[in-house]
Amino acid sequence: MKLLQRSRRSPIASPEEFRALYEHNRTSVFRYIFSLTGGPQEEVEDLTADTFLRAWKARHTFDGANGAATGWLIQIAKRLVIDQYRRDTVQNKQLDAHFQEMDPSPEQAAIAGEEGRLLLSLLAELPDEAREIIVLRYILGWRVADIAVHLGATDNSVSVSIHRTLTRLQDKWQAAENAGIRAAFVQEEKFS
Amino acid sequence: MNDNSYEKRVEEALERFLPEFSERLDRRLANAPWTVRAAARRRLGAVAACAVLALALFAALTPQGRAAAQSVLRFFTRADSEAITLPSAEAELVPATPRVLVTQAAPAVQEEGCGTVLTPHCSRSQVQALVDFPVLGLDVSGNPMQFKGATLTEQDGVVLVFEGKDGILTLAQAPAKQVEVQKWRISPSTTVETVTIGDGSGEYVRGGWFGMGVKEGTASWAEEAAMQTLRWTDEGIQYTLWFTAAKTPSGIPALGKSELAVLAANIKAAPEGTFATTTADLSPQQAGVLAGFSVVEPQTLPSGFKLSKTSFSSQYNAVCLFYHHHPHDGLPSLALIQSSWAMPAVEELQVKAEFNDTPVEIASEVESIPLEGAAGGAAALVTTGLDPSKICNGEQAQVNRALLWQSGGRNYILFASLDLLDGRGYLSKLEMRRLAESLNGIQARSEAEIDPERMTSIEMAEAFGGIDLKSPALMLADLHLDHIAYNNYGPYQGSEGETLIAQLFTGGPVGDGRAYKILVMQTIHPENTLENLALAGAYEATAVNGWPAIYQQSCWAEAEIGDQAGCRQHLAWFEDAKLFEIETFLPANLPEEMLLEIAESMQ
Repeated sequence: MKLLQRSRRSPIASPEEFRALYEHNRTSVFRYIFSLTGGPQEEVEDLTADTFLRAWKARHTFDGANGAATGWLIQIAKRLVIDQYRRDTVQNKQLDAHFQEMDPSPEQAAIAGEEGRLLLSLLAELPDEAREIIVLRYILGWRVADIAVHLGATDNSVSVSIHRTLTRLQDKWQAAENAGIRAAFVQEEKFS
Repeated sequence: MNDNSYEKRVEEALERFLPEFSERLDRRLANAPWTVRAAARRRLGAVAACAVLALALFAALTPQGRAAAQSVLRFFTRADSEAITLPSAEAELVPATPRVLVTQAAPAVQEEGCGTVLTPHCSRSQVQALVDFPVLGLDVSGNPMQFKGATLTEQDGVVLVFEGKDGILTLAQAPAKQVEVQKWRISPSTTVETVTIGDGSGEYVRGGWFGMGVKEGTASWAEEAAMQTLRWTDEGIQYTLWFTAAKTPSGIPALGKSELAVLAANIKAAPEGTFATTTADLSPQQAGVLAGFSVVEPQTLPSGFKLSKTSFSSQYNAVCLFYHHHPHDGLPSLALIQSSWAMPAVEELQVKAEFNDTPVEIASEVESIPLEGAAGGAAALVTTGLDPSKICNGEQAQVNRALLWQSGGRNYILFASLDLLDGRGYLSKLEMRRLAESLNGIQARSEAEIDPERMTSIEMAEAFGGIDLKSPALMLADLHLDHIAYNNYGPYQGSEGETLIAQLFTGGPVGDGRAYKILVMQTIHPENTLENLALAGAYEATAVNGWPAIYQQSCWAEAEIGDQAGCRQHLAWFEDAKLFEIETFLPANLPEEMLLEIAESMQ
């Protein structure tokens, strides 16, 4: 009793290969999802787990090199995040609401302190593609060229987007400080 | 603070933003299929299976093994645990793109040979011609048993099956090769009794292998199972007689150890007449001569049906034409009765079931449907509860719906089977109507009319129901889409307000009496909830694409001869307020992971 045969072997088909993929990429996938959604931690971990479970089930469709697997995982994670938001309107809430509901456990506090919270709220206001580029560039540490390949864009357009988005983030960061939201952080800076 | 410092701060903040996952992530994926634990589990299963096989071979083939085994039992082998490994479907999980669906129902597989232990259909003389030892039979004249048929085993043996209201008696016989003599596995703890059989002795065991619950791929010994096995050898022939008892009001099987021993002792005395014949005695023309009218036969029959028997009833001056959908089917599943006299009233045709020894009338539904060429332009469609044997001299048929009408001064009853979702032997209401109208001399209806009981493509079902129908993009390569049924009748009938759409995938050795199939069901406006379904117990909580799901499984080992086994697996989940279910009936256990993968490929 067999399922239909496939024509080409995936480089992540075996449990051993996939295990290496998981161990190498779980942090990136987690951070990517966390940056897109803003948490909470448990939901992000669930989505991260679902990303790998879905990837495992679809592993035979992946026929690229091992190096391309991270981008493939990121695509799966992105789809899951979008699905999750579409599926559950309760979860489609503003990040502010997220922050209010966040359990201030030491674990989460370490992840999303004052600076992280502000950053997430600023990221949440960005257009989808701009946010993704910033997340890939700074939080996952991808090179511009890799981001361009991943998004099917040119290096130049990615660089321009990064520059524009950073400028926008700076403006918003400044505005937030001026509004006093970042007062405590600024105070801390002054005395450090 | 100037812009440059903000620019730097944002970049640094982004680079410093390094959220970390907790141990919960690894815990959640601790049993994921790629983990070491899962791999070890798979290896353990394989090692266990190999170990059982190796021990069995050791016991059977080596002098030491034979001596060790014979010192304990002569005709049985004790398994090394209370559970045995059932055959597992070997399959690689790969996606099928595009969908593995066909739009045409494939013909039933016509198997060569004499069928399986479950559906033997050869006569004793037929199997005798195929083996080089004398085939003996049972003298069941003292028991209400009838010879059902004979078949061959993979070990050059013969199996005879007898059936009656007390249960099923099966006699296997084969040259007593050492490998086979001790092959019959039993529980390590069950009691084996020595029984005198004529001048010799045999061994008797009560119980059998059954698997219930969610233990994947194993069957456990059930001491209380209504199965008894007696094994002995005589003149170089190994005999195995096993009895599967029907339920009795007292709970005591109609045949016990001593009765089986008597049957075994008298095995050589079985007269030739014990073996019934099932050949048709009359042709339709001969029956028509007896009835005094020309028998009307269908010009075209639904695919697969063939005339298998004709009989004449002088009581009703009726001619009964019986049709088998497959020669291995025990009973015909289509019957056409015609008479120039009045037929008995519907009430007289009604089946009476017995419940605790009390006759109970089976409820019938009667519907008037338009029928061209019929008197009054209509026919009565009666669903469940009618029995053609009441007209046709006791001839049985596996039918549960009937169309009654008059045309040309003749009375007709067309008996057919409901769709039991096993891919064969049934007629839809529309097909019954088409067949009846063709008998009335009416030209065939337009085939363009969609038959909700037999749709052959997803697109057709979606067009008919006006809904989006999900179908698996992954399916076992051996199975094909047989048909899709809406609001199916019979065992899967939905309650009012519910709409059930069943997709039947079938294949393999369909036609040997066993349904090798996967059912994919979708219920709109379900009355059930996952909690209700879970009340049945013996389930495992799982998830399908993140939706909570329950998984149930039961397996059984039919018998050691022919290594017959079967598994029913059931996966249910709710998605967007619809109930989705996948149910398998396969000769081997499908790995749960594969079933989940098929479920998650639904689109």
